[in-house]
Amino acid sequence: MTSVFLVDDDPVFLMLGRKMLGKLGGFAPIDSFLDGRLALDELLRRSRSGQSLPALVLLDIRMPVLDGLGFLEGLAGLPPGHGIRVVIVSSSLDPTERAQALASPHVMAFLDKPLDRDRLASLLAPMGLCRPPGT
Amino acid sequence: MQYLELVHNLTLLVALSLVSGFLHDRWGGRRGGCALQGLLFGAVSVLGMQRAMPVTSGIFLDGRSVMLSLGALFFGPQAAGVALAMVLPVRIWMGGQGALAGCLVSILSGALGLLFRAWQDPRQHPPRGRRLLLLGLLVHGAMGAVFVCVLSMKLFQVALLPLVTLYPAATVLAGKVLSDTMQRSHSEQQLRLKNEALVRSHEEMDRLIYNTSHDLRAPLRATLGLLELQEDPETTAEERGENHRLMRASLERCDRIIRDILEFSRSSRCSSRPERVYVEALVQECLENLRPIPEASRVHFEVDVPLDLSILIDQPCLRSILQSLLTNAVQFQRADEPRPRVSIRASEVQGQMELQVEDNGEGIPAPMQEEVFRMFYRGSHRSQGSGLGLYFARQMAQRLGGQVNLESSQGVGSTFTLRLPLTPEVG
Repeated sequence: MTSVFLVDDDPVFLMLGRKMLGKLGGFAPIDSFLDGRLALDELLRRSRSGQSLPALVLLDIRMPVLDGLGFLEGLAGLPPGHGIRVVIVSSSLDPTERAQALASPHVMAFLDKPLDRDRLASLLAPMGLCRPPGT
Repeated sequence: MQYLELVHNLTLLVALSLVSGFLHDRWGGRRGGCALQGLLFGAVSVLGMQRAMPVTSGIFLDGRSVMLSLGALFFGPQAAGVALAMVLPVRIWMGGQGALAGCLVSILSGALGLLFRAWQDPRQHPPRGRRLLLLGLLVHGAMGAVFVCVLSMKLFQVALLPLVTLYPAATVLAGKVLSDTMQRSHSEQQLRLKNEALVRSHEEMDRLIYNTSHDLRAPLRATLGLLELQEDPETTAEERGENHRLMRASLERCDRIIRDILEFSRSSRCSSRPERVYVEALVQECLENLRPIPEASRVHFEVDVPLDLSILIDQPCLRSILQSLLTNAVQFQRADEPRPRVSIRASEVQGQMELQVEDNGEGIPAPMQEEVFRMFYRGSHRSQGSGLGLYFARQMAQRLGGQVNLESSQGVGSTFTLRLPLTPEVG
C-alpha cells in the first residue's frame, strides 16, 4: 500500500483525488490537507516522532497560508533520504510557476487539474507506486 | 587684435558648456554633481583670466562674468559658491587697480545668476534665448556700473563695446548650449521613467492574466472533474446530488471573479469624474449592501462619521473601496466572538479624508499583513471571495492619490485605514 498526502485548498479536488486514488487501488492511508502549512506540520510531526512518512504527495500550487512552492521549500526541514515523491496538480498556466516547481528535486511531474486517472497511473507505475494502467 | 584674447576667452566658454553638459548627463542627478560643476566653472574662469584682454595695467576683460552667472543659473548656489571660492582668491592674488572691481563683478555675476534661477528654475523651464539675453545684459550692465563707480568713466568707455555686444552674445550662445543639454537630459530621463512604468505595467498585466486564468480555470476544472464523476455509473444518486451542488458553487465562484474584475476595470478608469460625496451617506449605503452576507447579521456596526464630511471624488470608485473593506471586516469575524463588532470612523486629517474600518475579528499575523493586498491572495480557508477585493481597494486608492494600510494583531482584530485627498490631485 502506498500512503498519500493530498494537499489542495479546494475540497472538491480533495474529494476527486480521493475517489480517483480509490479507483486506482493500492493507496492507503490517504490524508487530506487544505494548505501547505497543515501538510508540512504533519510531515514534521511524524518525522520527529519516528512515524512513517507518505510515499507520495499530490500537491496544489496556489493555496492560502503556505502555497505549494513554500511546501516544497519546507521539505528541506525533513531528514535527508525521506524519499517523498511529489506530483504537482495545478490549474496554473504560468510557465515561471511550473519551472519553479519542477526545479525541486522532489517533484516528479506537473499535471493539470482535474487529475487524469491513466496519466497518473502511467506516471506512478514505473516506480511501483501503483498498478500499471489498464490492469 | 586685443579682442582676439576676449574671443579666445569666450570660445573657452562654449567648450566649457559642452563639458558641463557631459558632466550633467553623467553626474547630474548624483550628490556632489553641482559642486563638480562649480569646480569646472571655477577652473575655466581661472584659465580664462590667464588669457584675458588687457584694458590697462591691472585691469583686464575675460569671460568670468558669463561663466559665473551661467554656472549659478544652471547649477545653483553650491556651484556658484565653489566657483567663486576659486575665482576670488586668484583675482586678489593677481592684484592691480582692477582687483576690487574684478571681485565685485564676479560676486554680482553669481548673484544675478542665482536671482534668475530663483525666478525660473532651469530644471523645470530651460531658459530660452530672450531670458539668457536679459541675463547677459543685466550682468554686463552691472559690470559697466562697477567700471563707472569703482574705476573710471574712461575705462568704462573702452570696455563698452564688448560689454554690449560680445558678452551678452556669449551669454546667449553658451547658455543655449547648456539649456539644450539640460532639456535633452530631462527628456531622456522622462523617457526612461515612462519606459520603466510601461515595463512594470506589462509585468502587472502578465501577472493579472496568469492569476486570472488560474483562478478562473480552477473552478472550471473542478466542474469538469465533477462532470466526469457524474458520468461514472458507480456514482450513487446521493453523490450525484452533492456533485451537482459543488458544480453550482464552482461556477458561481467563476462568476464572482469575472464580476470583480469587471468592477475593477470600470472603477480603474473613473478618477476623471469627481463629484461631491458625503461620506456618512456612502458608508450607510455600503452597510445596506452587506445584508446578503450571512455573517453580517451577527455584527454590530458603529459608525462615527461627521454628517458634513464630504470629499470630491468619483463616487463608484470610493464605494467600491469601502465595500471591499467592509466585506472583508465582516467575513473575518471569529466564530467564537460573542459580540462581533465593526467600527467605521472618518475625519479630515491635514487635507485628507482618513477613514478607518476596525473589527474585532480574526486579525492577521504580521508576516501576512502586506500579503493581503496581493492579487488573488486568500489568507485562510474561510476566504470565500475572489481574493481581489483588498488588492483592488489598494490599487484604486493609489490611483486616486491615496493609500490603504493595515494594522492588525492576530486574535484581536484588524484596522484598515483609507486615506484620500479631499480634492482630486491634479495630474
